[in-house]
Amino acid sequence: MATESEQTLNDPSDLDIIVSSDEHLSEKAEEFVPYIDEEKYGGIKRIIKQAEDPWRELFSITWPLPAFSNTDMASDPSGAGNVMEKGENKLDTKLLRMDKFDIDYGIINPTLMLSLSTVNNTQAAAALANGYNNWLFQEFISQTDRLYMCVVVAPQDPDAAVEEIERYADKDGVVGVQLGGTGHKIPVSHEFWDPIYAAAEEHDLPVTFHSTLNATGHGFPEQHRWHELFAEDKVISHPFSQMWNVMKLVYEGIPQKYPDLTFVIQESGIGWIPYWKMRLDRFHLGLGQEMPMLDKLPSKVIDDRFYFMTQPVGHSGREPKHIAWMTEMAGPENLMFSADIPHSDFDAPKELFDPIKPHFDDETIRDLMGQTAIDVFDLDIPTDK
Amino acid sequence: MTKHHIASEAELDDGDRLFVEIEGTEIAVFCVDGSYHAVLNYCVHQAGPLCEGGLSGRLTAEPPEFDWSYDDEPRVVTCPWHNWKFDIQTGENIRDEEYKVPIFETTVEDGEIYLHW
Repeated sequence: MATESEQTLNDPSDLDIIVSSDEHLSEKAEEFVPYIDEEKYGGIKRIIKQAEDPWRELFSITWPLPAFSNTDMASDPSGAGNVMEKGENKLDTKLLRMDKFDIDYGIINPTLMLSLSTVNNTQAAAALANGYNNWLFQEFISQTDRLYMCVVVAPQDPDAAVEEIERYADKDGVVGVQLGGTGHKIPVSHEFWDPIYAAAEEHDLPVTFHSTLNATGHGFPEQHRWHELFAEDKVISHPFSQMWNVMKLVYEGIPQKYPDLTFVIQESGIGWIPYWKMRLDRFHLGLGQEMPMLDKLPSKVIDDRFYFMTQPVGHSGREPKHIAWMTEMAGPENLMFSADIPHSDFDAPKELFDPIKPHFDDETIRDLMGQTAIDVFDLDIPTDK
Repeated sequence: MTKHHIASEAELDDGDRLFVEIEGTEIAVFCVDGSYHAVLNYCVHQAGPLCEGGLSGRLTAEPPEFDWSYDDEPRVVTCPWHNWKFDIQTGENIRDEEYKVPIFETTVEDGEIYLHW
């Protein structure tokens, strides 16, 4: 916690740099399918192009009710994407919306493509990842120094995933490997994933797990089957996914197996983190005879090797100090601000900055709002910034 | 440091343990392969009777394969309340050395076991 003399920041505009570690373009299949490598995926690409409704015919995305019903973003999975202001093209739009919130740099993660886990056909999954990465890099990342990307891989095909990582690892602006966090056919701790972790580790790229409501039906089929409301999918998908992912990764010793790999958890807020660390510790101490790979408390492994993006931090209006307390308990050095624009639960920088400002010193706040993301993802920020 | 007589070696077979009270403190003395290990009968978790739990070896897993093996040296006592496990030779919790229970030095003189308090 801070002393008064160390607190000079009063508003997000006082920060030199704000990095949103999770930004979205709300990609449409028709935008990136043309970028699928014709030579490698020509056959399946021809079939993919015949899908009139990719969300149903390639992906298997279902909701209990139409998304965001009775709002201006009704049935629009991009959230506020068609409500917020727009520029001349999608890149301009993205930068314009970041400007609106004084966000200097953003790491782009997918929206539809987070549901790659729901794609049944292995070739289609690999081809879609290929097209998405090509489109994102060519049209956005290579066009501006304000955006970075995590390369998306299809875990249905680990060999293709490794190829994709190797194809993109050394390109400017590629800073992580996005695995998705919800609905995988094979859990993220299984040895099936070994080639992907090994490749990410070899190329010094953090692996990121971004959960998604759109794969709730695959991640939590029983709950999804009985959900009456779109909101119910939304509420459980993120924390349930990440609790499971973190438990599986930590308890089964994946950080020990890949000692130089960094793990990043996205989109599930921060309130669950202290609870989960304590619970993992509690049962490691009581049942750790099953975990010979784990040579220290799970909370210490998490502190050493895991990072979490903050959005959505929670409802901060009632007791702002609780947000600061949760931040303190979760471990401020392991948190990175994320805005998640333009999705419907996005956080403007003030959503995190204001409640934590009275409780932390300037350096901690600068870290949370940008510097930790710069360090974790090794962002090559222009020196004139 | 005071020397307290515990028992004669003949009274403890391998694998046995003996509970003694010294200045109001309950301590267990374990006999393992001819050595004697004295541990406070108190779990630092929730004050359970640690040394009343079973004594066993432990699973191990070493890189790079991390296959599970079993080290059968009986040096791990498991608290019967919540299964926290401590090494009777070091007092350290085997899951994380942050947690530790007091252990005490023992000696054998002319077939008699002593605990140094």
